[in-house]
Amino acid sequence: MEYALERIKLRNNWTAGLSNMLNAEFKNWFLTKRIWTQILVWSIILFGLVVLAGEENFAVSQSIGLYSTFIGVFACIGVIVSAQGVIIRERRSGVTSWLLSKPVSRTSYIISKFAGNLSGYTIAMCLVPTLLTYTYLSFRTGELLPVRGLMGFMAIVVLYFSFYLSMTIMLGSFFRNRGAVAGIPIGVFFAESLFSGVLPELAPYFPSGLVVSEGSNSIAVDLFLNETIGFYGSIITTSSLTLLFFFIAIWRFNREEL
Amino acid sequence: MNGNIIQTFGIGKSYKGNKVLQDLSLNVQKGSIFGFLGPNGAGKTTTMKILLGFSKASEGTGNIFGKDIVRDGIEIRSRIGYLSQDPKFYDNLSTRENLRLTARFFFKNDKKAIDYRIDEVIEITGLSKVADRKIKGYSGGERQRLGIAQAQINKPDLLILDEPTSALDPLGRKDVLTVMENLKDKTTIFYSTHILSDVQRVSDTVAILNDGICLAQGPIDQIMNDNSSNVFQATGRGYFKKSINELKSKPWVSDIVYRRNEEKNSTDLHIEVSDTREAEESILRILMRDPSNIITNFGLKTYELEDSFINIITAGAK
Repeated sequence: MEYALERIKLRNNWTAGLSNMLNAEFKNWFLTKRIWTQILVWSIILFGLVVLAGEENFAVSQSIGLYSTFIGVFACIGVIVSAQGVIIRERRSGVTSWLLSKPVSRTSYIISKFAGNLSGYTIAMCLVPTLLTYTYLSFRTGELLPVRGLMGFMAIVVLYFSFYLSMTIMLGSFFRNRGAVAGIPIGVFFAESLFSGVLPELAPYFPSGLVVSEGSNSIAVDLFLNETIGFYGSIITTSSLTLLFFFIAIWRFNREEL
Repeated sequence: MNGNIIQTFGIGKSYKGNKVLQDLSLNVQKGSIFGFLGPNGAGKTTTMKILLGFSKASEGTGNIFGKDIVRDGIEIRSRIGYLSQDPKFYDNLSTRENLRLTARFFFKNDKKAIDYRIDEVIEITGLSKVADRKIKGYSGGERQRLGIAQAQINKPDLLILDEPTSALDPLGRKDVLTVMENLKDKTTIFYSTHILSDVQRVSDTVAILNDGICLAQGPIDQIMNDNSSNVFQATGRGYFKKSINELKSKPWVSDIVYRRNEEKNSTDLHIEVSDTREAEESILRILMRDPSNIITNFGLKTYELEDSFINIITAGAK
Protein backbone atom coordinates (compact mmCIF):
# COMPACT_ATOMS: atom_id res chain seq x y z
CA MET A 1 0.00 0.00 0.00
CA GLU A 2 1.41 3.38 -0.98
CA TYR A 3 0.92 6.50 1.10
CA ALA A 4 0.65 10.02 -0.31
CA LEU A 5 3.09 12.29 1.42
CA GLU A 6 1.85 15.69 2.44
CA ARG A 7 4.49 18.38 2.21
CA ILE A 8 4.86 21.08 4.84
CA LYS A 9 4.24 24.49 3.32
CA LEU A 10 7.51 26.21 3.98
CA ARG A 11 8.12 29.91 3.86
CA ASN A 12 11.31 31.86 4.06
CA ASN A 13 10.96 32.86 7.68
CA TRP A 14 12.79 32.27 10.93
CA THR A 15 10.43 29.55 12.18
CA ALA A 16 11.26 27.14 9.34
CA GLY A 17 12.18 23.72 10.72
CA LEU A 18 11.78 24.86 14.33
CA SER A 19 9.34 22.21 15.56
CA ASN A 20 11.39 19.37 14.11
CA MET A 21 14.64 20.78 15.46
CA LEU A 22 13.09 21.19 18.91
CA ASN A 23 11.74 17.67 18.69
CA ALA A 24 15.21 16.35 17.83
CA GLU A 25 16.83 18.24 20.71
CA PHE A 26 14.24 17.08 23.24
CA LYS A 27 14.58 13.49 22.03
CA ASN A 28 18.34 13.76 22.32
CA TRP A 29 17.93 14.76 25.96
CA PHE A 30 14.92 12.84 27.13
CA LEU A 31 14.73 9.68 25.05
CA THR A 32 18.28 8.62 25.73
CA LYS A 33 20.12 7.58 28.86
CA ARG A 34 21.70 11.02 28.90
CA ILE A 35 18.96 12.50 31.06
CA TRP A 36 19.16 9.67 33.61
CA THR A 37 22.93 9.95 33.82
CA GLN A 38 22.72 13.70 34.35
CA ILE A 39 19.96 13.39 36.94
CA LEU A 40 21.96 10.81 38.84
CA VAL A 41 25.19 12.81 38.75
CA TRP A 42 23.61 16.13 39.76
CA SER A 43 21.38 14.64 42.40
CA ILE A 44 24.39 13.03 44.02
CA ILE A 45 26.43 16.24 43.81
CA LEU A 46 23.81 18.80 44.84
CA PHE A 47 21.44 16.88 47.09
CA GLY A 48 24.26 14.73 48.44
CA LEU A 49 26.27 17.78 49.51
CA VAL A 50 23.25 19.28 51.30
CA VAL A 51 22.68 16.04 53.21
CA LEU A 52 26.36 15.73 54.08
CA ALA A 53 26.77 19.38 55.06
CA GLY A 54 23.42 19.80 56.78
CA GLU A 55 23.77 18.80 60.38
CA GLU A 56 20.68 18.18 62.46
CA ASN A 57 20.92 21.57 64.10
CA PHE A 58 21.40 23.40 60.78
CA ALA A 59 18.52 25.84 60.24
CA VAL A 60 16.38 25.23 57.14
CA SER A 61 17.33 28.67 55.81
CA GLN A 62 21.01 27.74 56.15
CA SER A 63 20.47 24.46 54.32
CA ILE A 64 18.60 26.23 51.50
CA GLY A 65 21.30 28.88 51.31
CA LEU A 66 23.94 26.17 51.08
CA TYR A 67 22.03 24.26 48.43
CA SER A 68 21.46 27.44 46.41
CA THR A 69 25.16 28.26 46.53
CA PHE A 70 26.04 24.72 45.43
CA ILE A 71 23.78 25.20 42.40
CA GLY A 72 25.29 28.63 41.78
CA VAL A 73 28.81 27.24 41.72
CA PHE A 74 28.76 23.59 40.62
CA ALA A 75 25.73 23.53 38.37
CA CYS A 76 26.78 26.80 36.74
CA ILE A 77 30.16 25.34 35.83
CA GLY A 78 28.35 22.18 34.74
CA VAL A 79 26.18 24.21 32.36
CA ILE A 80 29.20 25.97 30.88
CA VAL A 81 31.27 22.81 30.41
CA SER A 82 28.37 20.85 29.01
CA ALA A 83 27.19 23.64 26.68
CA GLN A 84 30.62 24.59 25.31
CA GLY A 85 30.33 22.06 22.49
CA VAL A 86 26.68 22.67 21.64
CA ILE A 87 27.48 24.74 18.54
CA ILE A 88 31.15 23.94 17.98
CA ARG A 89 30.87 20.15 18.08
CA GLU A 90 28.14 19.97 15.43
CA ARG A 91 29.74 22.63 13.28
CA ARG A 92 33.11 20.90 13.32
CA SER A 93 31.65 17.47 12.64
CA GLY A 94 29.56 18.68 9.69
CA VAL A 95 26.20 17.90 11.32
CA THR A 96 25.28 21.61 11.25
CA SER A 97 25.83 21.76 7.48
CA TRP A 98 23.72 18.66 7.06
CA LEU A 99 20.85 20.06 9.11
CA LEU A 100 21.01 23.47 7.47
CA SER A 101 20.93 21.91 4.01
CA LYS A 102 17.32 21.12 4.91
CA PRO A 103 14.61 23.78 5.08
CA VAL A 104 15.73 24.96 8.51
CA SER A 105 16.43 28.56 9.40
CA ARG A 106 19.55 29.33 11.36
CA THR A 107 17.42 31.10 13.94
CA SER A 108 15.48 27.86 14.49
CA TYR A 109 18.77 26.06 14.93
CA ILE A 110 19.92 28.40 17.73
CA ILE A 111 16.50 28.44 19.42
CA SER A 112 16.34 24.65 19.43
CA LYS A 113 19.83 24.37 20.92
CA PHE A 114 18.95 26.86 23.63
CA ALA A 115 15.52 25.43 24.46
CA GLY A 116 16.57 21.78 24.29
CA ASN A 117 19.61 22.18 26.49
CA LEU A 118 17.94 24.53 28.94
CA SER A 119 15.15 22.01 29.51
CA GLY A 120 17.70 19.24 30.02
CA TYR A 121 19.72 21.28 32.52
CA THR A 122 16.56 22.42 34.27
CA ILE A 123 15.38 18.88 34.91
CA ALA A 124 18.76 17.32 35.69
CA MET A 125 20.44 20.15 37.59
CA CYS A 126 17.47 21.92 39.12
CA LEU A 127 14.11 20.15 39.21
CA VAL A 128 15.07 16.71 40.50
CA PRO A 129 17.81 17.75 42.99
CA THR A 130 15.62 20.60 44.26
CA LEU A 131 12.60 18.33 44.75
CA LEU A 132 14.82 15.89 46.65
CA THR A 133 16.17 18.71 48.78
CA TYR A 134 12.66 20.10 49.32
CA THR A 135 11.38 16.67 50.43
CA TYR A 136 14.38 16.14 52.68
CA LEU A 137 14.01 19.56 54.35
CA SER A 138 10.26 19.13 54.71
CA PHE A 139 10.83 15.80 56.48
CA ARG A 140 13.41 17.39 58.71
CA THR A 141 11.13 20.23 59.77
CA GLY A 142 8.10 17.97 59.97
CA GLU A 143 6.02 20.21 57.71
CA LEU A 144 5.77 20.97 54.01
CA LEU A 145 7.76 24.01 53.02
CA PRO A 146 5.80 26.54 50.89
CA VAL A 147 5.33 25.28 47.33
CA ARG A 148 5.15 28.82 45.97
CA GLY A 149 8.61 29.50 47.35
CA LEU A 150 9.88 26.30 45.77
CA MET A 151 8.53 27.36 42.35
CA GLY A 152 10.04 30.85 42.70
CA PHE A 153 13.40 29.33 43.67
CA MET A 154 13.44 27.10 40.61
CA ALA A 155 12.40 29.95 38.29
CA ILE A 156 15.38 31.97 39.49
CA VAL A 157 17.75 29.02 39.04
CA VAL A 158 16.48 28.55 35.47
CA LEU A 159 17.10 32.25 34.78
CA TYR A 160 20.63 31.82 36.13
CA PHE A 161 21.23 28.79 33.88
CA SER A 162 19.79 30.72 30.92
CA PHE A 163 22.33 33.46 31.44
CA TYR A 164 25.33 31.12 31.23
CA LEU A 165 23.80 28.97 28.53
CA SER A 166 23.02 31.93 26.27
CA MET A 167 26.51 33.32 26.84
CA THR A 168 28.12 29.98 25.97
CA ILE A 169 25.97 29.55 22.85
CA MET A 170 26.74 33.11 21.78
CA LEU A 171 30.46 32.47 22.15
CA GLY A 172 30.06 29.21 20.23
CA SER A 173 28.67 31.22 17.32
CA PHE A 174 31.79 33.44 17.35
CA PHE A 175 34.62 31.05 18.10
CA ARG A 176 35.69 27.67 16.81
CA ASN A 177 37.82 27.03 19.84
CA ARG A 178 36.32 25.26 22.85
CA GLY A 179 38.80 26.93 25.17
CA ALA A 180 37.42 30.37 24.44
CA VAL A 181 33.81 29.21 24.56
CA ALA A 182 34.17 27.63 28.00
CA GLY A 183 36.91 29.88 29.35
CA ILE A 184 35.16 33.23 28.99
CA PRO A 185 31.99 32.26 30.93
CA ILE A 186 34.09 30.60 33.64
CA GLY A 187 36.16 33.80 33.74
CA VAL A 188 32.96 35.84 34.08
CA PHE A 189 31.81 33.57 36.90
CA PHE A 190 34.99 34.09 38.91
CA ALA A 191 35.18 37.78 37.98
CA GLU A 192 31.78 38.26 39.63
CA SER A 193 33.16 37.04 42.97
CA LEU A 194 36.23 39.22 42.55
CA PHE A 195 34.30 42.38 41.68
CA SER A 196 31.76 41.75 44.43
CA GLY A 197 34.64 42.28 46.85
CA VAL A 198 36.24 45.21 45.00
CA LEU A 199 33.03 47.02 44.02
CA PRO A 200 30.42 45.90 46.56
CA GLU A 201 27.93 48.54 45.35
CA LEU A 202 27.71 46.71 41.99
CA ALA A 203 27.31 43.25 43.51
CA PRO A 204 23.49 43.38 43.77
CA TYR A 205 23.37 43.68 39.98
CA PHE A 206 25.47 40.60 39.28
CA PRO A 207 23.83 37.34 38.11
CA SER A 208 25.49 35.48 40.98
CA GLY A 209 23.27 37.47 43.37
CA LEU A 210 20.39 35.34 42.10
CA VAL A 211 21.60 32.14 43.73
CA VAL A 212 24.91 32.56 45.52
CA SER A 213 24.48 33.70 49.12
CA GLU A 214 27.41 35.85 50.21
CA GLY A 215 26.67 37.62 53.46
CA SER A 216 22.98 38.11 52.75
CA ASN A 217 20.51 35.66 51.26
CA SER A 218 20.37 35.32 47.50
CA ILE A 219 17.12 36.13 45.68
CA ALA A 220 16.44 32.42 45.16
CA VAL A 221 16.76 31.71 48.88
CA ASP A 222 14.49 34.64 49.78
CA LEU A 223 11.90 33.28 47.41
CA PHE A 224 12.22 29.76 48.81
CA LEU A 225 11.68 31.08 52.33
CA ASN A 226 8.74 33.21 51.18
CA GLU A 227 10.56 36.36 52.22
CA THR A 228 10.26 39.70 50.44
CA ILE A 229 12.85 40.42 47.79
CA GLY A 230 14.54 43.68 48.62
CA PHE A 231 16.17 44.50 45.29
CA TYR A 232 15.54 43.20 41.77
CA GLY A 233 18.83 44.36 40.27
CA SER A 234 20.19 40.86 39.62
CA ILE A 235 16.96 39.73 37.98
CA ILE A 236 16.87 42.72 35.65
CA THR A 237 20.58 42.51 34.73
CA THR A 238 20.52 38.76 34.19
CA SER A 239 17.30 38.80 32.13
CA SER A 240 18.53 41.67 29.96
CA LEU A 241 21.95 40.12 29.36
CA THR A 242 20.41 36.72 28.63
CA LEU A 243 18.17 38.25 25.96
CA LEU A 244 21.09 40.26 24.58
CA PHE A 245 23.36 37.20 24.35
CA PHE A 246 20.58 35.18 22.79
CA PHE A 247 19.92 37.74 20.05
CA ILE A 248 23.63 38.27 19.40
CA ALA A 249 23.98 34.48 18.99
CA ILE A 250 21.19 34.47 16.40
CA TRP A 251 22.57 37.53 14.62
CA ARG A 252 26.08 36.10 14.50
CA PHE A 253 25.05 32.61 13.46
CA ASN A 254 22.99 34.01 10.59
CA ARG A 255 26.20 35.53 9.23
CA GLU A 256 28.32 32.45 9.76
CA GLU A 257 29.97 30.84 6.73
CA LEU A 258 29.59 27.10 7.02
CA MET B 1 13.40 29.75 -15.44
CA ASN B 2 13.82 28.94 -19.22
CA GLY B 3 14.24 25.23 -18.54
CA ASN B 4 17.18 26.00 -16.27
CA ILE B 5 17.03 24.66 -12.75
CA ILE B 6 20.18 26.48 -11.64
CA GLN B 7 21.33 29.80 -13.04
CA THR B 8 24.15 31.89 -11.70
CA PHE B 9 25.23 35.28 -12.96
CA GLY B 10 28.83 36.26 -12.45
CA ILE B 11 29.20 34.73 -9.01
CA GLY B 12 32.48 35.42 -7.25
CA LYS B 13 33.88 34.67 -3.83
CA SER B 14 36.87 36.09 -2.03
CA TYR B 15 38.40 35.10 1.28
CA LYS B 16 40.62 37.76 2.79
CA GLY B 17 41.27 39.28 -0.60
CA ASN B 18 42.01 35.94 -2.20
CA LYS B 19 39.64 35.20 -5.08
CA VAL B 20 38.55 31.58 -4.96
CA LEU B 21 35.72 31.92 -7.45
CA GLN B 22 35.43 34.37 -10.32
CA ASP B 23 32.56 35.41 -12.54
CA LEU B 24 30.85 32.03 -12.54
CA SER B 25 27.77 31.82 -14.75
CA LEU B 26 26.21 28.37 -14.71
CA ASN B 27 23.16 27.08 -16.51
CA VAL B 28 21.94 23.69 -15.36
CA GLN B 29 19.10 22.36 -17.49
CA LYS B 30 16.15 20.56 -15.99
CA GLY B 31 16.54 16.79 -16.16
CA SER B 32 20.27 16.85 -16.77
CA ILE B 33 23.07 15.12 -14.90
CA PHE B 34 25.45 18.02 -14.69
CA GLY B 35 29.05 17.16 -13.85
CA PHE B 36 30.91 19.98 -12.18
CA LEU B 37 34.45 19.06 -12.95
CA GLY B 38 37.72 20.39 -11.66
CA PRO B 39 40.86 19.54 -9.76
CA ASN B 40 40.92 19.77 -5.96
CA GLY B 41 40.72 23.38 -4.80
CA ALA B 42 39.13 24.57 -8.05
CA GLY B 43 36.14 26.12 -6.25
CA LYS B 44 33.53 23.38 -6.71
CA THR B 45 32.58 23.05 -3.04
CA THR B 46 32.56 26.83 -2.63
CA THR B 47 30.06 27.08 -5.49
CA MET B 48 27.84 24.46 -3.90
CA LYS B 49 28.01 26.20 -0.54
CA ILE B 50 26.90 29.43 -2.18
CA LEU B 51 24.02 27.69 -3.94
CA LEU B 52 22.87 26.14 -0.65
CA GLY B 53 23.15 29.37 1.32
CA PHE B 54 26.02 28.13 3.53
CA SER B 55 28.18 30.91 2.22
CA LYS B 56 27.45 34.29 0.65
CA ALA B 57 28.81 35.25 -2.75
CA SER B 58 31.09 38.29 -2.72
CA GLU B 59 29.65 39.27 -6.08
CA GLY B 60 27.00 38.15 -8.54
CA THR B 61 23.61 36.54 -8.06
CA GLY B 62 21.97 33.22 -8.69
CA ASN B 63 18.69 31.42 -8.64
CA ILE B 64 17.43 27.88 -8.30
CA PHE B 65 13.94 27.01 -9.58
CA GLY B 66 13.76 30.71 -10.50
CA LYS B 67 14.11 31.70 -6.83
CA ASP B 68 16.88 33.84 -5.41
CA ILE B 69 19.56 31.78 -3.63
CA VAL B 70 19.98 34.33 -0.83
CA ARG B 71 16.41 35.48 -0.19
CA ASP B 72 14.52 32.25 -0.85
CA GLY B 73 16.90 29.73 0.71
CA ILE B 74 14.26 27.87 2.74
CA GLU B 75 11.92 27.39 -0.24
CA ILE B 76 14.81 26.28 -2.41
CA ARG B 77 16.13 23.81 0.15
CA SER B 78 12.67 22.30 0.56
CA ARG B 79 13.01 21.05 -3.03
CA ILE B 80 16.66 20.02 -2.90
CA GLY B 81 18.54 16.96 -1.73
CA TYR B 82 22.15 17.55 -0.73
CA LEU B 83 25.02 15.20 -0.10
CA SER B 84 28.20 16.73 1.25
CA GLN B 85 31.70 15.54 0.46
CA ASP B 86 32.09 13.93 3.88
CA PRO B 87 28.52 13.27 5.01
CA LYS B 88 27.88 13.48 8.75
CA PHE B 89 24.75 12.64 10.70
CA TYR B 90 23.73 11.99 14.28
CA ASP B 91 26.00 9.07 15.18
CA ASN B 92 23.85 8.02 18.12
CA LEU B 93 20.87 7.41 15.83
CA SER B 94 20.27 4.60 13.37
CA THR B 95 19.80 5.06 9.62
CA ARG B 96 16.06 4.85 10.09
CA GLU B 97 16.05 7.45 12.88
CA ASN B 98 18.28 9.85 10.93
CA LEU B 99 16.00 9.47 7.92
CA ARG B 100 12.91 10.03 10.06
CA LEU B 101 14.42 13.24 11.40
CA THR B 102 15.22 14.35 7.84
CA ALA B 103 11.76 13.47 6.53
CA ARG B 104 10.07 15.49 9.27
CA PHE B 105 11.59 18.65 7.81
CA PHE B 106 9.54 18.10 4.66
CA PHE B 107 6.43 16.09 5.43
CA LYS B 108 3.69 16.44 7.98
CA ASN B 109 2.25 12.97 7.60
CA ASP B 110 1.73 10.43 10.32
CA LYS B 111 4.43 7.91 11.14
CA LYS B 112 3.13 5.26 8.72
CA ALA B 113 3.41 7.40 5.58
CA ILE B 114 6.86 8.65 6.53
CA ASP B 115 8.06 5.16 7.44
CA TYR B 116 6.85 3.93 4.07
CA ARG B 117 8.99 6.54 2.31
CA ILE B 118 11.95 5.69 4.56
CA ASP B 119 11.63 2.02 3.62
CA GLU B 120 11.62 3.02 -0.04
CA VAL B 121 14.88 4.95 0.12
CA ILE B 122 16.50 2.31 2.33
CA GLU B 123 15.64 -0.25 -0.31
CA ILE B 124 16.95 1.91 -3.18
CA THR B 125 20.25 2.55 -1.45
CA GLY B 126 20.69 -1.02 -0.23
CA LEU B 127 20.81 -0.18 3.46
CA SER B 128 18.15 -2.67 4.59
CA LYS B 129 20.54 -4.85 6.58
CA VAL B 130 21.96 -2.01 8.65
CA ALA B 131 18.93 0.29 8.80
CA ASP B 132 18.31 -0.20 12.52
CA ARG B 133 21.92 -0.12 13.62
CA LYS B 134 23.41 3.04 15.08
CA ILE B 135 25.53 4.67 12.39
CA LYS B 136 28.57 5.17 14.62
CA GLY B 137 30.39 2.13 13.20
CA TYR B 138 29.35 2.57 9.57
CA SER B 139 31.90 2.16 6.80
CA GLY B 140 32.57 5.00 4.36
CA GLY B 141 30.40 3.29 1.76
CA GLU B 142 27.47 2.83 4.15
CA ARG B 143 27.72 6.44 5.23
CA GLN B 144 27.72 7.53 1.60
CA ARG B 145 24.64 5.41 0.91
CA LEU B 146 22.91 6.96 3.89
CA GLY B 147 23.92 10.33 2.48
CA ILE B 148 22.23 9.52 -0.79
CA ALA B 149 19.19 8.11 1.03
CA GLN B 150 18.67 11.25 3.09
CA ALA B 151 19.21 13.43 0.04
CA GLN B 152 16.38 11.62 -1.72
CA ILE B 153 13.94 11.37 1.14
CA ASN B 154 11.96 14.46 0.06
CA LYS B 155 11.73 13.36 -3.60
CA PRO B 156 13.80 16.40 -4.58
CA ASP B 157 13.57 18.25 -7.88
CA LEU B 158 17.32 18.80 -7.67
CA LEU B 159 20.08 16.72 -6.14
CA ILE B 160 23.31 18.50 -5.29
CA LEU B 161 26.08 16.00 -4.65
CA ASP B 162 29.55 17.10 -3.63
CA GLU B 163 32.14 14.51 -4.73
CA PRO B 164 29.72 11.60 -4.20
CA THR B 165 32.19 8.92 -5.29
CA SER B 166 35.59 10.25 -4.33
CA ALA B 167 35.85 8.40 -1.00
CA LEU B 168 34.58 5.08 -2.31
CA ASP B 169 36.22 1.92 -3.57
CA PRO B 170 35.50 0.85 -7.18
CA LEU B 171 32.47 -1.23 -6.17
CA GLY B 172 31.02 1.53 -4.04
CA ARG B 173 31.60 4.00 -6.89
CA LYS B 174 29.84 1.74 -9.31
CA ASP B 175 26.85 1.47 -6.95
CA VAL B 176 26.58 5.22 -6.49
CA LEU B 177 26.84 5.87 -10.21
CA THR B 178 24.11 3.30 -10.84
CA VAL B 179 21.87 5.03 -8.30
CA MET B 180 22.55 8.34 -10.06
CA GLU B 181 21.71 6.85 -13.45
CA ASN B 182 18.49 5.40 -12.04
CA LEU B 183 17.48 8.80 -10.72
CA LYS B 184 18.02 10.52 -14.03
CA ASP B 185 14.37 10.46 -15.07
CA LYS B 186 13.14 11.62 -11.69
CA THR B 187 15.34 14.56 -10.85
CA THR B 188 18.07 16.93 -11.99
CA ILE B 189 21.50 16.08 -10.62
CA PHE B 190 24.24 18.64 -10.13
CA TYR B 191 27.37 16.99 -8.81
CA SER B 192 31.01 17.80 -8.44
CA THR B 193 33.86 15.44 -9.06
CA HIS B 194 37.44 15.17 -10.19
CA ILE B 195 36.97 11.61 -11.45
CA LEU B 196 36.69 11.99 -15.21
CA SER B 197 35.54 8.48 -15.97
CA ASP B 198 32.52 8.99 -13.68
CA VAL B 199 31.55 12.11 -15.57
CA GLN B 200 31.94 10.39 -18.90
CA ARG B 201 29.78 7.52 -17.70
CA VAL B 202 26.79 9.36 -16.27
CA SER B 203 26.82 13.05 -17.20
CA ASP B 204 25.19 14.68 -20.16
CA THR B 205 26.44 18.19 -19.39
CA VAL B 206 29.64 19.41 -17.80
CA ALA B 207 31.34 22.54 -16.60
CA ILE B 208 35.09 22.60 -16.07
CA LEU B 209 36.40 24.76 -13.29
CA ASN B 210 40.00 25.55 -12.47
CA ASP B 211 41.41 28.09 -10.01
CA GLY B 212 37.92 29.48 -9.52
CA ILE B 213 37.35 30.15 -13.22
CA CYS B 214 34.88 28.28 -15.39
CA LEU B 215 36.87 27.27 -18.48
CA ALA B 216 34.17 25.41 -20.40
CA GLN B 217 30.53 24.50 -20.08
CA GLY B 218 28.14 22.56 -22.27
CA PRO B 219 26.96 19.12 -23.38
CA ILE B 220 29.68 16.56 -22.82
CA ASP B 221 29.88 15.60 -26.54
CA GLN B 222 30.35 19.21 -27.50
CA ILE B 223 33.10 19.71 -24.91
CA MET B 224 34.94 16.69 -26.26
CA ASN B 225 34.45 17.62 -29.92
CA ASP B 226 35.48 21.23 -29.40
CA ASN B 227 38.77 19.96 -28.17
CA SER B 228 39.30 17.16 -30.62
CA SER B 229 40.94 19.52 -33.18
CA ASN B 230 40.99 18.02 -36.66
CA VAL B 231 43.12 14.98 -36.30
CA PHE B 232 42.70 11.83 -38.35
CA GLN B 233 44.15 8.60 -37.14
CA ALA B 234 45.28 5.75 -39.39
CA THR B 235 46.79 2.45 -38.36
CA GLY B 236 48.13 -0.26 -40.58
CA ARG B 237 50.88 -2.62 -41.64
CA GLY B 238 53.64 -1.21 -43.85
CA TYR B 239 55.91 1.82 -43.75
CA PHE B 240 53.63 4.44 -45.37
CA LYS B 241 56.69 6.42 -46.51
CA LYS B 242 55.36 7.33 -49.98
CA SER B 243 51.93 8.15 -48.57
CA ILE B 244 53.39 10.40 -45.89
CA ASN B 245 55.40 12.33 -48.46
CA GLU B 246 52.32 12.79 -50.61
CA LEU B 247 50.19 13.87 -47.65
CA LYS B 248 52.83 16.40 -46.57
CA SER B 249 52.55 18.09 -49.96
CA LYS B 250 48.81 18.73 -49.52
CA PRO B 251 47.93 22.29 -48.45
CA TRP B 252 45.19 21.09 -46.04
CA VAL B 253 47.59 18.90 -44.01
CA SER B 254 48.99 20.87 -41.08
CA ASP B 255 51.05 18.21 -39.35
CA ILE B 256 51.77 14.49 -39.41
CA VAL B 257 52.94 12.47 -36.43
CA TYR B 258 54.35 9.08 -37.37
CA ARG B 259 54.89 6.19 -34.94
CA ARG B 260 56.37 2.88 -35.99
CA ASN B 261 56.14 -0.36 -34.00
CA GLU B 262 58.66 -2.77 -35.55
CA GLU B 263 57.67 -5.67 -33.35
CA LYS B 264 54.10 -5.61 -34.60
CA ASN B 265 55.04 -4.29 -38.03
CA SER B 266 52.51 -1.59 -37.38
CA THR B 267 52.44 2.11 -38.15
CA ASP B 268 50.32 4.69 -36.45
CA LEU B 269 49.66 8.01 -38.19
CA HIS B 270 48.14 11.13 -36.69
CA ILE B 271 47.31 13.60 -39.44
CA GLU B 272 46.22 17.07 -38.37
CA VAL B 273 44.27 18.86 -41.07
CA SER B 274 42.81 22.28 -41.72
CA ASP B 275 39.98 21.09 -43.98
CA THR B 276 38.14 18.10 -42.53
CA ARG B 277 35.93 17.56 -45.54
CA GLU B 278 38.80 17.44 -48.01
CA ALA B 279 40.74 15.22 -45.62
CA GLU B 280 37.85 12.79 -45.25
CA GLU B 281 37.65 12.40 -49.01
CA SER B 282 41.36 12.17 -49.73
CA ILE B 283 43.41 10.66 -46.88
CA LEU B 284 42.20 7.09 -47.17
CA ARG B 285 42.50 7.19 -50.97
CA ILE B 286 46.12 8.41 -50.73
CA LEU B 287 47.02 5.76 -48.17
CA MET B 288 45.53 2.96 -50.24
CA ARG B 289 47.22 4.05 -53.41
CA ASP B 290 50.40 2.37 -52.15
CA PRO B 291 49.71 -1.39 -52.30
CA SER B 292 52.32 -2.10 -49.57
CA ASN B 293 50.10 -0.35 -47.03
CA ILE B 294 47.45 -2.45 -45.33
CA ILE B 295 45.03 -0.19 -43.47
CA THR B 296 43.49 -1.74 -40.35
CA ASN B 297 41.91 1.32 -38.84
CA PHE B 298 41.03 4.80 -40.04
CA GLY B 299 38.90 7.70 -38.82
CA LEU B 300 38.66 11.06 -37.09
CA LYS B 301 40.48 10.73 -33.81
CA THR B 302 38.00 10.51 -30.93
CA TYR B 303 39.03 12.08 -27.68
CA GLU B 304 38.26 10.90 -24.17
CA LEU B 305 37.03 13.45 -21.70
CA GLU B 306 40.41 13.23 -20.02
CA ASP B 307 42.12 14.59 -23.16
CA SER B 308 39.64 17.45 -23.36
CA PHE B 309 39.96 18.14 -19.66
CA ILE B 310 43.74 18.32 -19.84
CA ASN B 311 43.58 20.48 -22.99
CA ILE B 312 41.14 22.89 -21.37
CA ILE B 313 42.99 23.10 -18.07
CA THR B 314 46.34 23.52 -19.84
CA ALA B 315 44.98 26.19 -22.17
CA GLY B 316 43.36 27.94 -19.19
CA ALA B 317 46.64 27.96 -17.31
CA LYS B 318 48.36 29.66 -20.26
